[in-house]
Amino acid sequence: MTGLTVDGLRVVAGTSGRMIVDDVDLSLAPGESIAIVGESGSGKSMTAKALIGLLPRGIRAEGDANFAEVDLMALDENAWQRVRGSRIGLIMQNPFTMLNPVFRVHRTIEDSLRPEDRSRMTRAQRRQDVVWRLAEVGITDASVADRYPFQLSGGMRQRVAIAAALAREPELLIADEPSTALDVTTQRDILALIKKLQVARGMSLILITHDLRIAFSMCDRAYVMYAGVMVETATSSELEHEPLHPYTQGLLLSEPPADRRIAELVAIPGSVPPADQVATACPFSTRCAWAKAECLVGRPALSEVEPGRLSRCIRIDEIRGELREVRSAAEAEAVETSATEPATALVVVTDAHKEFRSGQRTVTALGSVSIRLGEGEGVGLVGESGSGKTTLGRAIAGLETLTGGTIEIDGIDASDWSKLSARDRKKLRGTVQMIFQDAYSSLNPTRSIGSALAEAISIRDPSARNMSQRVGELLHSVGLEPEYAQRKPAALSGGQHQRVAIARALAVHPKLLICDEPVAALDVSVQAQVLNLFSRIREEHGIGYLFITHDLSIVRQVVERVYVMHNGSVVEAGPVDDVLGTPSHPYTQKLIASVPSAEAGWLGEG
Amino acid sequence: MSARTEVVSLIEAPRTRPNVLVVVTLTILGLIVLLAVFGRLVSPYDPMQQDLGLGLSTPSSEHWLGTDALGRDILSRILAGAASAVVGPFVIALGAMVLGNVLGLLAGYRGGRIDSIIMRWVDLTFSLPGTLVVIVVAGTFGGSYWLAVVLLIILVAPGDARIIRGATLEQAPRPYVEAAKSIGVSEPRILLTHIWPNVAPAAIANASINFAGSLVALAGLSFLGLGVAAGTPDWGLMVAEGRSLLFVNPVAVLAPAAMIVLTATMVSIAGDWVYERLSSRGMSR
Amino acid sequence: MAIVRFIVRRLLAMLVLLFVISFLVFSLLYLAPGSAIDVLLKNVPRNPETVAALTAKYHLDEPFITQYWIWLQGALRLDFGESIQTTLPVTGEILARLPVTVFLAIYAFAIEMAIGLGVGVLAALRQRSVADRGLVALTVVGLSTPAFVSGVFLLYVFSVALGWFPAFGAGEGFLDRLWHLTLPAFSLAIVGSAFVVKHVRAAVLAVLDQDYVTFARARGISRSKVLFQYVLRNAMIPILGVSAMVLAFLLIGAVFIEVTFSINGMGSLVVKAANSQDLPMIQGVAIFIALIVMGFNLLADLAYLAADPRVRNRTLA
Repeated sequence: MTGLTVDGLRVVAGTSGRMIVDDVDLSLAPGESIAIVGESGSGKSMTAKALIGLLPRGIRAEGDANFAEVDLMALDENAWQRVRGSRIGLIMQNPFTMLNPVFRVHRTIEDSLRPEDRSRMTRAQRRQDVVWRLAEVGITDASVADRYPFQLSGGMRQRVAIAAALAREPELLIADEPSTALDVTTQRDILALIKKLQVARGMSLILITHDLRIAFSMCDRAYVMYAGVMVETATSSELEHEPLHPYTQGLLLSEPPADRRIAELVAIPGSVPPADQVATACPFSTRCAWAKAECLVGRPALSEVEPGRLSRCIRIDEIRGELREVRSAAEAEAVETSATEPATALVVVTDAHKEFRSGQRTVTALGSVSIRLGEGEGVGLVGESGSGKTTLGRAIAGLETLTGGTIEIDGIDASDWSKLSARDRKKLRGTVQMIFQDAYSSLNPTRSIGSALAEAISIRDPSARNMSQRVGELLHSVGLEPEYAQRKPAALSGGQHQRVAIARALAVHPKLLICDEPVAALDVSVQAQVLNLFSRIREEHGIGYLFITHDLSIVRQVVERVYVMHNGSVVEAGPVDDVLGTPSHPYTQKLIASVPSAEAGWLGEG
Repeated sequence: MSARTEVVSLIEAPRTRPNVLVVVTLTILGLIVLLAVFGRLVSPYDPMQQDLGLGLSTPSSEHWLGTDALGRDILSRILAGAASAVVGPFVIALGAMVLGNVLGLLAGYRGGRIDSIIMRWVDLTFSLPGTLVVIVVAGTFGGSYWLAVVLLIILVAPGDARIIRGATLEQAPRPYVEAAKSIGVSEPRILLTHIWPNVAPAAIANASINFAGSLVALAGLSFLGLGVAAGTPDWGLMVAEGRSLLFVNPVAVLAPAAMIVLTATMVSIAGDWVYERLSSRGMSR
Repeated sequence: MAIVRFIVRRLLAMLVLLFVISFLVFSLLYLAPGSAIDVLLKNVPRNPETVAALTAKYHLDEPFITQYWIWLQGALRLDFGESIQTTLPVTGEILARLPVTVFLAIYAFAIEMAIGLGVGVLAALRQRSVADRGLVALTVVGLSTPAFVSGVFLLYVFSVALGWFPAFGAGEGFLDRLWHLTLPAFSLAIVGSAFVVKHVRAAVLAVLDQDYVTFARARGISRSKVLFQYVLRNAMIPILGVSAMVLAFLLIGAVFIEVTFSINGMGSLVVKAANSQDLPMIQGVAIFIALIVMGFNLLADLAYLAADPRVRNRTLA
C-alpha cells in the first residue's frame, strides 16, 4: 500500500490532555493533491505538523498514520530524520522567518541536499546544482545564490524555501499556508509554482489553507476542519457545487465575490470555539442556524451522504434543501451602485508627496497623489504593500506628515497637524477617525473596554454624565453586550476587538472613518460580520469611509468609488463597478486576476 | 518581544494557586525590612558594645554566633546591619526608577534632540564599570555610604532610562497609542495612562535588579573600606573585618556573607514575581 | 573598505570619549576636598620648600587648562607622575601588577564561558525539566553572590577547611600561578557564569522557537547540525552583544577578589590608592581601565559585525 493513510488522528496537549485535534481521517494517493481547509483554531496546522513529527514541545499525536509502509506514529527522532525532507517535505507560512538569517542562499540549499549526494559533489558541482534548483523555482538570476535572506523579497524567499524543501526530492509535500504572508500578486505566482512542481515531479500535496477558493483551484479533494475535527470532505468540484455541511456553506458565503456586489454578506454569528469546549457536541452547534437539541447529544460521526462525500452534520438530509435556497438567494442578488464625483468634498488631497528616510536611503512612499472624498461617501484605496495606500490614509488622519502637497479637511488646511491651532486640531480629531488592521493592538491591553470608551466619550463631552450608560449604548451600537465594558481586551475575540475599536471611533461622532485593512486579520466567517457592521453604521450615521485594502472582493462590497494605487501613485480611479468591471490599467488587471478563484485555470498556464 | 530579555526566572507562568517559593520569599523580605527598621530593638546586645575581655569567641549559648575581635556580638551586628543593607538600595532603586522612567519615556516618545542627549549620557555610563567609578570617586573624596548612594543613582539611572526608552519606542507606534492620539488624548496623558502602564512591568523588574545590585555594590564598598564608617554594623564591613579571622570564627564572616546573598536573591525573586503578575495583567479579565 | 571606515570612526569616537574621561579624571585633583597642595602633600611635612617643589613639579601656578594640557601630554606618554604613597612612578607600579590581573581575568573568563555556555545550552534544551529548574535556581543565587562573598566561601571551604589551595598570594611561574589563582578565578567566575548562563539560556530558547529551526528539521538536517549551525550560531549573536558587560563584571570582581585573596594586582593597587587618597595613582589606574574597557568594547562590536550579516549590512552600508 502506498500513499498516506491517517486514521483517528488525535493531537493533545501533554500534561492537561486538552484536545486540539480529534478523529481525523485522511487518505492521499501518490500524485494526488488534497487541501485541509479551516479557520484559525481549526487544528489544520497541528494536523500538518503531526504528519511530519514537528509538533511543538509538550504536544503529542495519537492514532494511526501510515505513509508508504512507514508507521509515522512509531518513529523516534532518528527515524523521523530519515523521513523528513526525503519522503515528506514541508513549506511553512512565513518566508521572512523560515530561512537561517546568517546563511547565504546557496548554503541553505546545499545543507538541504542528502548528505551522501552533497559529499559526492565537488564545489563546482554543488554550485551548479544550486543554480539549477533555483532555476527550477523560477529564480534565473544565479547571483541570488550568494545573497542573504534579508536581501530578498518575500516571494523570492518563499521560492528559495521551496527549493530547499524539495532538495531531497520528497514524495509528499505539505504546504502550510504557503502564500498567506505574501502580497496578492505574488501569492498567485507561488501557488502556481507549487502546483507546477507537484505535477512535474508527480508528488503528493497536502495544502493547508483558510481559503476555500484556493483549495478548490489547487487540489483534487478538500477536507474542511472546524474546531479540531473534520466536518466535511469531498472532491473540490462537488464541494464547490454543493457543500453538505452548514459550516462549509457558511465559509463559502462569507467570502465575498469580486465580480459583483451583493445586498448583504451572509455572516456566521459568533467565533470559533476552542476545540475542547465543543468536544461532546456537534462542534458547529454553537453557531449553526439549524442546530437542534439532537445536535448537542454527543459529537456526530463523519458519515457518508453520497458516495465519496462525507459530512458530520446529522441533519444534512433534512436541511439540504434549505441550504440550497440560502445559497442561491445569497448569490443571486447583485445590486447596482451609484457613484458620482462628490459635489461637496470633505477631504481634498492635492499632490501629496511623502519620503521616508531609512539609513542613508530615501524611500518614496507617495509620489504625487490627489484624491477627493465626499461627505458620507464610501471610497476604496486599493493596492499591495508598498503602494503607499496606508501612508496616505495615515496622513489624512494626522498620524504622518507629508513631505509635500496639501490636505484639506472640512475647509481646514491639515497638511501639517503640528501647525494647527488647538481648536482646529480638536475639530479635526472629531472629524476623522482611524480603524487599524490589528484591532487587538489598537486597544490598550492594561485597560478595560469600558475605560477606553469612557475616555473617548469624555474627550468629546468632558462633562458627560451617566458614563456607564453611555458606554453601554456605544457597545450596543456595535452589537456587543454592555457587560463587555468590564473586560480587558485579552478576553475578547478578534471580531469583538474590531467592534470595540469602531465604537471608540464613533464616540467622537466623526464624519470620516479611515479603515486600514480592518478585516484582514480576521477569520473569514468573522470578516463578513464586521463588513456588515460597517455597512449598517454607515446607513445609520451617514459616516463616510476611506477603505484601505488589498482585497478587491471587499472593496466591491463596501464602497462606491475606488482609487487603485501602485508604487506611490494612483494608477486608476473611478466608480467601483467600472474600475473592477472594465479595468483599463495593466496593474488593475493584474490585481483582478490575482483574486483567488475556484475556477479551473485561475492559476494560469503555470 | 518584551522589553525584558532575561528569561531566567524561578517564577514560571502566572499561577492562581499561591506559590510556596513566593510566600517564603515575601516573608523573609518582610522580616528583613522589619529588621532594618526595628533591628536594634530586638537584638540581644548593643551591636556597638565592645567587650575586649570576651575577645574573639566562637558561638555559645550567650552569643549564638560568637563575637568579633572586639568582643561585639555577631548576631546583634547582623540584625542591626539590615538597616544599611536595605535603606541605601531602596533609595537607589527608587531614585533611579523615577529619574530613568521620566527620561526614558521622554526620550522614547519625543525622540530628536532630547533623545540624543539622554542617550549620550547612557552611552557614557555604559562604557564605564560602575563600581570602579565609585571606587575612583570615593578615593578622591574619601569613602562614605551616602556619597556612594548618590553616585550609584547617577550610574544606575541610565540603565533604567535605556530600558524604558526601548519599551516606549516599542509601544509608541502601536495602534492603541495612535488611536488615543487620534481621538485627541493629550501627550502627558498618553505617556502616563497609556504607555507607562504597559512598560511598568519592565520598570519594576529593573528596579528589583537595581535593588539587588546596589545592595551588593554598597556591601562591597564597605568591604573595601570605602563605604560605611568603621565600626558601623554592616554586612560588607563585617566580612572584611572577619576575613583574617576565618580560621578562628568562620561564622563571623560566613553569616553576614550569607545574609548578603540571601537578601539579594530574595529581592530578585520578588522582582520576578511582581513582573510576572504585572505583565499578565492584560492577559486575564 | 567599509570595515576600515567603521573602525576608524569607532576609534575617533573612542578618542573623544577618552578625552572627556581624561578631563574628568584630571579634575578629580581639584574636586577633592582641600587644595591641590594638601592632596598632593599628604604624608610629606608641609613647609615652603616642599610646597614650592610640588608647585613647580605639577605646574600648580599655571591656569587650570594649561595644567590639564601639561598633564594630558604626560598621560599620552603614559606618564601619570609618581604615587604619593610609594613615590614610585605610577605607570611602573601599574605595569608591574598588570600581568597578575590579566592572568586572573583570562582564567576567570575561560571558566565563565565554559560554564556559561555549557550550562546555558543544557538548561535551554531541557527547558522546564528538573535539571533546568535546578540550574535556574543556582543562577538566581549566583547572580546575587558578589565576588567577595563567593571568595570568602570558597576560601573557607577549600583553603581553611580542606586545605587544598593556598589562601593568599599569586605564586611564581605558570603552574604555581595557576594553582594559586584557581580559587580566586573560580570565586570571580561565579557571578559572571550566572550572568552568561542567564543570557545563553534566554538566547537559545528564543532561537529554538524560530521557524528556521523547525524548517531545518523539516528538511531532515541532522540534529547536531541543527544545534550547532542553526541554533547556537544564531544564539551567539545576542551573547556577543553582552560580552562587553561580562568584562566590566570581571574587572569589578577582580578588585574584590584581589583584596580577599591578598593578591598584589591592579585591583588591590586601586583599593590601596583609594583608601589613602593617592590621586596620581587613582588617575593612572582610571585611565588604564578606561582604555581596557574601550578596547574590549571595540572587539565585541567587531565580533558582532562578523557574526550577523544583517548588522553588517546596516552598520557598514
